[in-house]
Amino acid sequence: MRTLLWQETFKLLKKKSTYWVTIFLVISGLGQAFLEKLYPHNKVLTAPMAFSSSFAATTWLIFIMIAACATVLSMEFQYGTVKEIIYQQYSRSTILMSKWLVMLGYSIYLYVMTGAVALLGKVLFVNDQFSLTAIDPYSNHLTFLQQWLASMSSSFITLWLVLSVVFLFATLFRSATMAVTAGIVAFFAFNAVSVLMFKLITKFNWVKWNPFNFLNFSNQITDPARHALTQLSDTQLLIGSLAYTALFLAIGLVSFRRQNV
Amino acid sequence: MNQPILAVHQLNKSFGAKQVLHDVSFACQRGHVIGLVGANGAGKTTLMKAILGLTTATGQIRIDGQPTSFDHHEVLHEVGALIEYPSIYPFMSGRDHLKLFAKGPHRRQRIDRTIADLHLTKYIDRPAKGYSLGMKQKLGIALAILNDPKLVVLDEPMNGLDPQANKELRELIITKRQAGTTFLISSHILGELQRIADDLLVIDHGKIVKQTTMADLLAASSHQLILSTSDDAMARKVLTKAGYLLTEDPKPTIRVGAKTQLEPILDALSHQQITVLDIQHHDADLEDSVLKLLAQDQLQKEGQI
Repeated sequence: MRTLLWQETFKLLKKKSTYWVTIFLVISGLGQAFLEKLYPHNKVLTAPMAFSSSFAATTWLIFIMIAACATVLSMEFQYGTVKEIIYQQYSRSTILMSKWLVMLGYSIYLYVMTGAVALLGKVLFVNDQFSLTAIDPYSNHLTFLQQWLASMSSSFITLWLVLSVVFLFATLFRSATMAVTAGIVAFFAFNAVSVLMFKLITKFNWVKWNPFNFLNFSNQITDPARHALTQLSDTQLLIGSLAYTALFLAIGLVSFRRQNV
Repeated sequence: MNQPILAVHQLNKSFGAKQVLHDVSFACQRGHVIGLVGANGAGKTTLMKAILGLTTATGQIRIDGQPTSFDHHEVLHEVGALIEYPSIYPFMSGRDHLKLFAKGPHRRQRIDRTIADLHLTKYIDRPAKGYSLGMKQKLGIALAILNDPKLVVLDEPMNGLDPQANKELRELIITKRQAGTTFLISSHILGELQRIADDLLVIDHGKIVKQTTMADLLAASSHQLILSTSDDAMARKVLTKAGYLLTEDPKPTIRVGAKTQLEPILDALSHQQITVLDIQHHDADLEDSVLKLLAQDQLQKEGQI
């Protein structure tokens, strides 16, 4: 397993995109904070609101991680390198798990890095607009710092629910395009169908257990009023998100273990 | 130590209703080069993939005495392979590939030695996406031998190699064989196989139709004597009458065994005042022998229908 983790990390670090992503996120985060400094009185996206999403980094991270997870597996099929990996002494399960773990590590790195950039942007550009220890009037009496941490950690859970679908599609179809599409659809098209879903939930209560409803976890953490729509508590959403993530990853694992290459 | 490095027993593989491997059984002795030959679609690559745990198959495979399968193949750390086409990450250099797959102690030395052995120095630090087919092929072979495996499985390793690279590969295989490495090599370039293989497996329609040593196969194949005489037409008549088996060739061409003596032939001709101007020996090569084997197999199959 250690060798496989090292191999996956080596490949990730050899991709130029890995470095460009970091550069882009630093520029984007600081740029957004600077815009908040230039337009302190805008009502569309106030500085505390922008800060709570690490100056839009959490949205970018979804795109970036969908692409990274889709390609980390499908590139092996595309380049034929999957043969090279499998005829090593390791089992298929260990191979796939090492990819999950490296992607988990990569996503944690990106969250910590963008978090640090957000703190830097806040201190450099919008320090005078709000205090981290002040209470956020829109939340459940949380400070801006607590609100930010809650938002970051809940969006991380939701991100991995989406990524488990991406891994599943990458395994089933061996295609980055299919996997990226599945991820984008799972996350973004969800907003389009959520109105219909919420209506269905009011009619048929059991519909609340469908996996799309669990994509509301991070939204509900930052906006507790959403509970009325999801009909699930924060804890239920957390456990359900983790359970669905594990389920989708497990289905992908079973499929990968049976694949001839 | 006499245990074969690779033993395959009753291996069967089907793709849906189509069976592509039928009860394949064979063994590879240590330090031998085994040629695997057969027509396109005969099952060579599928057989190699099954050995490497890349594809499911029923039957038993043992490498270095240890069972290996699709699900459990820890013993494959003793195996290096190049299957179908070289697997290359375009965003990495050749050296990065070697670093990625090098295992165990003395990695750096093994990487440097492999680069030197395969003459990769000129381009090993360039991004692999710019490599020609031959360069990729050599990198694929480098990856197969990098960790000093006991068994190396090579599927058409001469693909895309220029004559110089072919010669270098041949020499490398011979050197590694002398050091105890076993090679299982499939190739359509039978002339190259004839020069390096000790043993031969001929596969046709998923069945091993012949397992033999190269020396035995060539010795059993036909030898011919091609005569130039002062009167070829008369010579043909004389030799036919004397009981020799002649080919259709206008020159008096006799099919003979390995130990046929020349003297009675020359006597029979000189008796009729026919002067022998020249005698050439012609031995069938691997290509002739394999084609003959495959043709015989085809005839047998048609006979069964």
